[in-house]
Amino acid sequence: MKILDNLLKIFVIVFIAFIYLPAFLVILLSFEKSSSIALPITGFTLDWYIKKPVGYETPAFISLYYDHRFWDALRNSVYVSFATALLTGLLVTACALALRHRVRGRDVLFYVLLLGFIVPGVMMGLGNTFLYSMLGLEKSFWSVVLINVAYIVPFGLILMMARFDPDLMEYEQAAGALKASPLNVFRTITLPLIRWEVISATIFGFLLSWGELIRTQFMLKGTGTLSVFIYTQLSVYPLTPKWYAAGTLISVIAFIGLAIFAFILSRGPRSQ
Amino acid sequence: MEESKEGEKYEKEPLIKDKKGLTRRQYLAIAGGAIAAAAAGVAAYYLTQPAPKPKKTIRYLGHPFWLPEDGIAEFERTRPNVKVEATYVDFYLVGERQLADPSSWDIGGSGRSRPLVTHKLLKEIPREMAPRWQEGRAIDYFLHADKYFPYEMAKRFDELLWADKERTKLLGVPNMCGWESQNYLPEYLPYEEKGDQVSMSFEELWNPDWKGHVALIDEGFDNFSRFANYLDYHQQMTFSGPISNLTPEEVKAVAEFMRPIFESGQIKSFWSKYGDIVAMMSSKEIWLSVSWVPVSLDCRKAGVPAYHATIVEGPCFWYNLSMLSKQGNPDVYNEAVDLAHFHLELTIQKLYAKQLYTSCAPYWDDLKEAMGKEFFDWFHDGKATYKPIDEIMKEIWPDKPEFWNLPERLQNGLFLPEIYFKHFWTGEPPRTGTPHPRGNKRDLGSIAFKHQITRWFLSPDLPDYNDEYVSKWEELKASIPV
Amino acid sequence: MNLQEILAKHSKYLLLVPGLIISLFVVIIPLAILIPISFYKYRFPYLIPEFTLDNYVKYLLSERTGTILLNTFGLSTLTCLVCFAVGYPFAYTLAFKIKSPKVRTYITSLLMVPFLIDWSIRTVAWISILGERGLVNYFLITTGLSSTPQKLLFSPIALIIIWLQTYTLFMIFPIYLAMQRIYPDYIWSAQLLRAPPHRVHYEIIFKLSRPGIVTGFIFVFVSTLGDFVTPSLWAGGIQTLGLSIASYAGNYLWPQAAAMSSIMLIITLAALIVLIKVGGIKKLVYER
Repeated sequence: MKILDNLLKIFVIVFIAFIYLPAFLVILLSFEKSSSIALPITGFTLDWYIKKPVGYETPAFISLYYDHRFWDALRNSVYVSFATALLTGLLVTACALALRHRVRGRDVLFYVLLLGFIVPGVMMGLGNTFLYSMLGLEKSFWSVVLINVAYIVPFGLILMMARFDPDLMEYEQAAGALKASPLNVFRTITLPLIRWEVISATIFGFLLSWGELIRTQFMLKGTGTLSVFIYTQLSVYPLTPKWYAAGTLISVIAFIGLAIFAFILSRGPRSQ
Repeated sequence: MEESKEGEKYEKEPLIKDKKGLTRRQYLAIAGGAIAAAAAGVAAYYLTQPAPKPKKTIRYLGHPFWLPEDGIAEFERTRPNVKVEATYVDFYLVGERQLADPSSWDIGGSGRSRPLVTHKLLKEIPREMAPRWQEGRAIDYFLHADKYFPYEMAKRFDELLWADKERTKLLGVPNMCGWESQNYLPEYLPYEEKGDQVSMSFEELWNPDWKGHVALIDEGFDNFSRFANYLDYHQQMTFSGPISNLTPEEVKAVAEFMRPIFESGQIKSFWSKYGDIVAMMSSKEIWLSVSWVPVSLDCRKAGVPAYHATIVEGPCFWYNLSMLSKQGNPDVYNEAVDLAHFHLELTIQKLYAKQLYTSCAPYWDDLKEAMGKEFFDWFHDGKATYKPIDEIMKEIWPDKPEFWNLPERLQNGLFLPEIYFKHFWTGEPPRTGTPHPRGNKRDLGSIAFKHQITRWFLSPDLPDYNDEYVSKWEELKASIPV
Repeated sequence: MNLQEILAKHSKYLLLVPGLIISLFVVIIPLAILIPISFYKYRFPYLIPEFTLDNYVKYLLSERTGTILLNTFGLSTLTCLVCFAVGYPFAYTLAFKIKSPKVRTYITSLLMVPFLIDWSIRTVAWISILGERGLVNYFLITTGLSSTPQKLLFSPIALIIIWLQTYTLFMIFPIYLAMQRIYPDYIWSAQLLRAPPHRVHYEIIFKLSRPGIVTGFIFVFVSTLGDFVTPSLWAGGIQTLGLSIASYAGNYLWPQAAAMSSIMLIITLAALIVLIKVGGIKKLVYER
């Protein structure tokens, strides 16, 4: 059995290495001297990060630090993803809690809530554009967040439903029988027990909306989120190591952020 | 009483106390407090900023390729009471958004304006409001399409640009244009480009020597038109109308011609994002592709020799334009026309020139002066550079001595106008001299030569039977062996 | 009854309201606009609001439809299976073999970081690995395992590898969460009763993590269906339904795009219902 255990652990390490292989190449190639995006490396430079622009560069050749559009887009992405994650966490919790009871027509309601991620992105974007056109609404930050939320809530919902504690309702009912107010029941019993599911749903919300492209593009106004920005740039400009530098920067920030987050979480009692 | 007191005690004690130092709740509390403080600070900052109050806001829906942010900054600097709110989306989604919600934009960029024209969603622009748009100053096709394209094709061309037969009202202001065929790597294909000379044929695309190394753009209209041009040139098929507007039967016939090429696995990559095809060619995975002119430039920047071919069958002509939406805000009409016309001015043209895209109205003195004689002649008249190519290599690639001794065929494929002609962008005085016999010549040659060999135009048209094009294209792709 | 009690009594309905409102506005109403469009006649570039079943009939009877549907759903299913084959052992190791909770949290966080690097950038890095001049071929040729460079890049293999790298996270996460819920007592008591290890594993761990497995399948399936750009670029031109919809919509052929979307919606919904029934997710939830 020990052999199997060790094999499995090696497997985990190998797989993590596999996932990180492109990321590793991205980091490595961001220092590439020429504008080639493939191996072999011909020279090392920090130019893609901090070279001062001389004027009239096309965006793919402006270094990361000086490209204020990149920073605008990054900021937008963070705002959108945070807002989406929070809203997703709230909505998913609410809906999952509600759907446990024998609500009338709950099957239908469940699938109605699920529709958000089955409808192809292009159609959802187009349909929403028609709707906004008919109602005369202007697109904005919130139109992007809304369409992302509608797309991501089903993910979170299914995630929550896959793991709800079957004893949860018993605990709640017991507490109710003991005359605890519903709010107290929620706060002291329900919430701690579903805490991990809610956090997972929120994290998923963040990750998914970070990479969401098609729906966002239909609903955005102005510069857009980072993934839209990169996609738009790459649709008419070449890929240069500058984008690798962007990827590296984002990884580093995410790494630090997640490290802090994991550190805080791991100080808890639950071995999760 | 005792019970409730105990209950209270339990509630007040932290749930976790098995570790020394701060408990997790306290961590979260600190983190939460920090975030709240930061948020409050940011909110306070924004609330105390003076609110700017521009008089007019123009909503632009397009792509930074047509209207870069630097251009907007320059426009707003010179027109202080106008603000441009630019929404940028992917090149291929722009059209969908423009058509689905025409009231959400005032001015937009386009490469496929036919649906907007047919649905009559574009506001007319009298020619007087676009002063750069004059006889002798603009590329001649725009003003006299019938001199260059066969009748039916010229008619389609004019329908897209002019609101009336007399050519007094524009449907949009063209900003950039060019001629296009295919890109290749001379390290693998035994050709080279020498300005006003034909180099290869379109049929290289299905030469089995390049099997698996050929890429096509992922659009039915583009490909069927090119193949129809080939078949028409070699008189293998006759078409009843313009080759960019085939009837369903003709589309089927062209698709049948293309089918064996797809079924043999000759072509395995289809690109829709420019960055992807550059990546594929500059990494030498793809050696020949139907793609835009700057692909070869960007390959060269990565140190890979590349050319844009002058094919026997002639390149296509294309142009992109800025248009005004009829359902846009009527108050900003004049400012929007101003912005559309601004694309033709020097600031934005300098950015276009980096990718060797031609201005649609290039014959203006300010452009000529800024370019200088050498660059202008090289760019428009296909004349050679004043220095020979081997000297130029030393100038462009000072740290790559391996490039200085390559055969000229490959050296010309490494020429970078952006570096050799950098005076255009930096403002230094241009070189003086005369064209050198071993100087570099621009791919696809002079405009006059291109007039002579061009037989059709691509953009911003879309065919009438587009559904046939799209479904046949899908069929072809579905017939590729997995 | 005071307000709090009224709210509590109807809470099960009220909690659904925000979600349903958003669903209504963002999904249902746009669908209600698009589905009638799928029945419009089309004569480019005009939409003629006359009812016709042409869009559906022509599409379903077309010769290429079978291939495209097979490609699309086949590839997604295959990816689910591959992700499962890799993700299940990973989740199992993470949940049961790694004791330290710190390490587990760090590993799950580690998995998420590459996901944040934008898709376009990440996938182009694969050229350097799978390309003819990439790492894999370099390795194969220098060790003499192959005499000519293998054409890995524009093929279904490349696609599966890229999707594996992107979406296994979605498979690992739910399975891991489900496995965490399994009380260790179950396993110990089974082992105490001398049950053979494979039965312990199958009866207890596998069956109890089944909702997580099904969730993972749903996530990967739906995500790969929605990612139409990757197959078109890296899989050697395989045509998928998502790409068809995008290309029809981009060419302003909206009735046809809407018709194909409805077909895709129905098939995906059916697959989802089957998965949910098989996985017994609802059983877990609707225990009462």
